[in-house]
Amino acid sequence: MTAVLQNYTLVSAVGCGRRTHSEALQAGRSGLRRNDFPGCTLDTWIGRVPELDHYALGDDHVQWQSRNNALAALTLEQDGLRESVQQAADMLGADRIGVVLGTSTSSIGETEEAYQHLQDEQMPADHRRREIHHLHSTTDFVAHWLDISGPTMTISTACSSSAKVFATADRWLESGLVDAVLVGGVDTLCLTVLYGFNSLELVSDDLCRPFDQRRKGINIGEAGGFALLRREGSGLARLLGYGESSDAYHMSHPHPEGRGARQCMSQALKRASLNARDIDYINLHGTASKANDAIEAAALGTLFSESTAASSTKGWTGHTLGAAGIVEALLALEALRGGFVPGTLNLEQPDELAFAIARETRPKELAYVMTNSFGFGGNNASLVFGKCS
Amino acid sequence: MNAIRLSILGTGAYGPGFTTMDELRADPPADAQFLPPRPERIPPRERRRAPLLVKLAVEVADQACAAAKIEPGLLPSIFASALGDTDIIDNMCRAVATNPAMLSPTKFHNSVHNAAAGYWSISTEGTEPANSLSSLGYTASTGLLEAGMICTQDSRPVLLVVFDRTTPAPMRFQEITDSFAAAIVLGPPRGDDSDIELSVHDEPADWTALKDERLNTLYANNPAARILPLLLGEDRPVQMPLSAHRTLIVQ
Repeated sequence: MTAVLQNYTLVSAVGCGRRTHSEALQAGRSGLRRNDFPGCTLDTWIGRVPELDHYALGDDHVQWQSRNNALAALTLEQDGLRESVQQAADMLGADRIGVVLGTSTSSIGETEEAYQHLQDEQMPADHRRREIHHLHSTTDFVAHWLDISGPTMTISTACSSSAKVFATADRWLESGLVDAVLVGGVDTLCLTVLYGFNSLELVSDDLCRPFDQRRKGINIGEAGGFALLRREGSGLARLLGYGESSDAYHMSHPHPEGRGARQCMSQALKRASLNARDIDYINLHGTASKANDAIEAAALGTLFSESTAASSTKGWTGHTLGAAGIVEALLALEALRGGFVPGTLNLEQPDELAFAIARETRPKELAYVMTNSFGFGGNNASLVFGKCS
Repeated sequence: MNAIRLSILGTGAYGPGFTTMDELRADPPADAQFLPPRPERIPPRERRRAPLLVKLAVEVADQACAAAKIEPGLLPSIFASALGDTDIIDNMCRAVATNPAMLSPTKFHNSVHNAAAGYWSISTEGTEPANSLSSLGYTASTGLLEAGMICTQDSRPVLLVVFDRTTPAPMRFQEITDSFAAAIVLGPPRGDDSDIELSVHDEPADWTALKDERLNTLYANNPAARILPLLLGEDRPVQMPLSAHRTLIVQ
């Protein structure tokens, strides 16, 4: 398996596009801010994309307008991604391109808004948009926005959603179902998620501090990421392996020994025909929740030695949930292509760890990178990428 | 795309007027009542917290594994639901519209689209990959194709579950009037009459008309029920659109 990423891009609280992210990683410039999300009074930090507050999709797509769909459109504008998809469609045919997107909540922000105005148990007429109030909204929107007419799929496995899109895309390419797949992940801030994570006591009133002894929980962020995958040809990087597993333990608490985490990392290495020591950098799930970081560290310690550099980039973007899988994969690719190991923002007093966590960003030649994503319901995914030769 | 050859190793179904495949094949009464499932597979402590949609999915998954005589925890799984748990979405949206501090932590962790996959893996102690997806009106066809690809790639059985529940009042404009779930355990081809073949045609097509007219309302109304012609073993080929331009053909 060696699907090629012909092009990719991302938008997060850090900013828009590859270069902005690469520079922010190297400069240690975070996108997190004190919570100022409208309607939310929680004392926390968030990763917000302010461009979305007034981003209009235009008259032809007004029925698709939502914060999540606006983020998808804004992301597709970056780094020529939209043009790459259009070139592929011209060459291959629009029905030979698939769209596989990960999201946890899609356009639910609009559903929340409609519920503020219920009349006799009904949404007001102007809120009753069939394009919006369902999980597949953003995937469907992206296909319409880009005039792609191949198969579309929304993967929603909480925080591993947009890591798993690479596995499905690989199957679609391998089988010949399509000749290119636009994979992505888009999740936006919304009240049910902010208050939902708060109800589980997972939201920190401090900056998130992955792997720090003083960590108090997560900062929630919004982000979008897209990559155009082909079976072959030139590109920016290659997908070499993926691993997927289930914890079979608890709906909102990871397996105490990190069984599922270890299983999906091992499977990803096996698919890539690589050994653990071949991996030069791992972008960790590293949410800064007490349980996740301890358990991810334990699982990592059973596979990797101190020669593998690892870090969590949640201190830049916040935890972007259904978008985290692809956004962190793309940050790992920026590191791979730029020759550096990203640090871990806000990490001052590390836990005792059996691997080498990077605190500061530093230059290093990388050949193979891995990224981990673990979601509620015990749903895990790991990805391995390498350079295009 | 090369055709994918598979076999159907076991099936399960649950809906209005039927709680098993045998009851689905028998004539359900016209005013068929929907009885909430109580899947024994889910341990009692978890079952108390499990929402209806999860119980529905686990019930049919368990039926299909029993019919296939396969240890359920050993199967990779695809859980395909067009709208997911609209009852919980309704509950959470009401909470944030009135008093966000009242949002229930259990409801929140049950709100993830992969709740059924999570409860299933916990209940069966299964650590295999589980995917949870939606393709709205094309959920059943896309889920079937995904399960077929994994089965072929790994040369081993895969569990497919399709399920959707009734929508609450504020979402009545995209109304599902009957809850329904079905599961199929797919395996590599066996060379007998349980074999099927999936191929994809680069042409648009309508959904195959359901021969069993008693189930027409369910078939038209619940995206998961689009699996019915295949589930009931009706005449093939069965046409299942994947998009406005491409069609999955089951032979």
